[in-house]
Amino acid sequence: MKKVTLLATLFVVFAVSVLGQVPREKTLIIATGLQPSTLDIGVGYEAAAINVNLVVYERLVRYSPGSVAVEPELAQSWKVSEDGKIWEFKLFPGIVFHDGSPCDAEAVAFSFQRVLAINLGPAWMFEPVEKVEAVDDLTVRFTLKRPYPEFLQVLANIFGTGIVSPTAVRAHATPEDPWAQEWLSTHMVGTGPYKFIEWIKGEHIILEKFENYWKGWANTKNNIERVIIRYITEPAVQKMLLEKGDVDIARHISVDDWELLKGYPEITLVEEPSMHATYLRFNCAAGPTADVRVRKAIRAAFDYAGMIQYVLRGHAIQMQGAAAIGLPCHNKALPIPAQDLELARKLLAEAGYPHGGFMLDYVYESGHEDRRRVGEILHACLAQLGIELRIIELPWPDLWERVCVPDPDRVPAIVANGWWPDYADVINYLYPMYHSSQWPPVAFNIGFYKNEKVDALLDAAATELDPAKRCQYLQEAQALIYEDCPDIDLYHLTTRVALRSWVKGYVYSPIYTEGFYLYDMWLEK
Amino acid sequence: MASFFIRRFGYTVITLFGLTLITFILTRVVPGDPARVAAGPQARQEQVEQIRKLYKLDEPIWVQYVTYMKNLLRGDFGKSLWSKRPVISDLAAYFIPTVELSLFASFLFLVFGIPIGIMSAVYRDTFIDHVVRLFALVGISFPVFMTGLVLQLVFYKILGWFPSGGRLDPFLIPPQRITGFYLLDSLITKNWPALLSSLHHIFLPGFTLALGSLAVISRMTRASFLEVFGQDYIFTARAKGLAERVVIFKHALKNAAIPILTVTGLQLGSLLGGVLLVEIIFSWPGLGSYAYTAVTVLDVNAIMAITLISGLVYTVINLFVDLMYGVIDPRIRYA
Repeated sequence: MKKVTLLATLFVVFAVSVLGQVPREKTLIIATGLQPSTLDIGVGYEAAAINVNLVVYERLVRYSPGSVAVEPELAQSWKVSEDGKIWEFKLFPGIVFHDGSPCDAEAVAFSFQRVLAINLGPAWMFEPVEKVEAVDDLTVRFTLKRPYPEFLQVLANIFGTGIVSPTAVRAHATPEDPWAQEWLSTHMVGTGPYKFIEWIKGEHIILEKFENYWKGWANTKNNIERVIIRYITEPAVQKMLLEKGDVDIARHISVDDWELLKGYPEITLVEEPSMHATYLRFNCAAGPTADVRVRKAIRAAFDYAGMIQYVLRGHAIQMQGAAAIGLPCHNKALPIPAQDLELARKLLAEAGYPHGGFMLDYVYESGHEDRRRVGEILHACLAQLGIELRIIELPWPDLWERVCVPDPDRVPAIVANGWWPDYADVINYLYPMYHSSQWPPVAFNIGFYKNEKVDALLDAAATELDPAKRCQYLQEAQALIYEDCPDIDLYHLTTRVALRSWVKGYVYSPIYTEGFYLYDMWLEK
Repeated sequence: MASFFIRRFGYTVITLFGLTLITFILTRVVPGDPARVAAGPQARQEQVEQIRKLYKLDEPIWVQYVTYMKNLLRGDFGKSLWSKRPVISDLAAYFIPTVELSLFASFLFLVFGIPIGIMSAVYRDTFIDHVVRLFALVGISFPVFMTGLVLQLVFYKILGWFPSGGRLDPFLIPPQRITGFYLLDSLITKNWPALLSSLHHIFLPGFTLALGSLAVISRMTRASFLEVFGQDYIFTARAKGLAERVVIFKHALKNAAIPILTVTGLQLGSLLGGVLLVEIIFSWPGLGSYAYTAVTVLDVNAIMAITLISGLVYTVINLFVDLMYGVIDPRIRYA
């Protein structure tokens, strides 16, 4: 009897293991470690939702694959008034939402009105918008409170810009929830090439090819009928799944596994510098780092080559100034700092600290191993100058509480801090982090940096419509910021995407880093 | 028995009330501004204030607590600052898979752990006993994440017998929701492909989660039975010529049950701790990852709800174990 039970158990396990297999041709499976908190395009403001937002929703304009140039998406053309306050976009005709309703100018206006009314997450980018309205079926007009030169870049960004079906919103709106936030937090109805099917929280999102996609499918090589985005937190598991071919793309592979995957001919590895920037932000208003010579001494003492080689193991590039390399208006003339201990000692002596003799706090966010190790390098470098560094790790909410306070005396001397741009414009780095109006608790100038010339240049750039002049202002501002050294501009991490070689047509986007232009992709199995 | 039950139930209510108070105060006094974290670093101060007002974080802490308790009694855990959805709807999505996995693991460690322990005691110092003891040692010593990764490597990557993770094959439509438990729902709706796929998916994480407890239970059962086997009434039973099966299951089992029951209660509670790691390794869409996110983003309402639910489960298990003591050993009821 016991033997029969044992055999029966084994049979069930075997049957279950064999019968569980289902063929998955024409399905693209993506493994990612990031799960969105919400799918609501008007509320979500996190990298985790980029992959679905990019293909389920469409924007008026978008970033071209592989670059930060803006190109048409739903809008075939646009024009801006001379004073830069009126923007008109002409839509392509014949666009339909996944629910079958037409996507016209009313729908576009409705989507932006929704974002403005909800006023959460990405809404801050649309603050200059006074009103948005449909002029006719295919023309939508934005009236701005002031000139907003980066408006096109803002519209190409992924957050808050996707056009959602008004029919779907109205169908699920309630008196307490007039914008159907609750329903849209778990559903998506856009115009993109793939439609939303289901989200099993913590497990996967499934998308399916939208047969009535307005661009049509006849002229593409795309043969991907279904897309499954699987949430796999553990990078080692992502690697295992990729090796077995059970996922086609693994988005979060650890550095160690990345090296191991280099030996697999059937796996393609794509690694490109991202626009993410990591800084060491100085407290410019209190303590020894209030003296620019001390800040420059620390910048000169830091071992950049060691950081790239040992901490980041080559998976990063050193920054050049405060804005991302590769962006239009990035100042390419700025020096890229290198370690110079002699200069550091000289600057410290000039500042009245020939032998150091003081202690600084270095604060970083829990979970950022790279920043911990940067702190260790800094600790070793500063020890040579007689400066003691106290390394403090804090969870994000605690760190924010510690650094985002209006009193500089309470803010640590050095804070390791990262920055993702929302849109591809230098001003998206400079204004929030270096304009004096952005001191805590308002925004992100956590080092209390202030230079009136920089403020004036950024103010001018914020409304200047002449691209050349604007670029000049921004480049001058970058040079002044470099000179004032409110931070050490450390590195841009690379983005790593591992794909089975049968996945074709993938192009890395430096701004939609988590996203895939699936319409242009296909499988060759 | 009724007064024993009422007394124990009263303790449970007091414990849960204390839990709400302590957790509420802790989530409100820890450093960090939940409204700012929820709004994001780029948000304007006006947006932060809007969130603060929306979630009533601008009111005095005792007012917040009274409001929270009033809502809680209506089953409303508030809205999540992270997902912006009612916490109860997030919990409904994440808690059921965790319970399903924990119950499956409990089933495994109870169904296999106790018989293995009895077998080990009955065949003391034989080959079977040595194997069981070695197995128990390995089960206790191996950390759950290690077990998970090794099982995944062997049974997914090398042998290909089981999937790497998830709850159901994404190519299958989930069973119609009745209880939320895939195993049960697919059984009720006679959705056999979904049942097989759910069993297929739950086996490795369930076994990983159960292994440590299985080892503990089998060790405890063995020790408990060995102690009982040395008692006079067992000698008497055997001397009377009773079948060994009767000796074990009628005379020994009930007397050995108290320590086993105690350890079972503790192990059921400890599953809630281990399940977090297992869920991460096997991409199981449960409470673990939700709890982790809630803590890292200071989602106060979600943290409260998770703590209360976990506390509730723990206290209910303890209540159940206490009541079972009373059932097994009547002397305890009147103590």
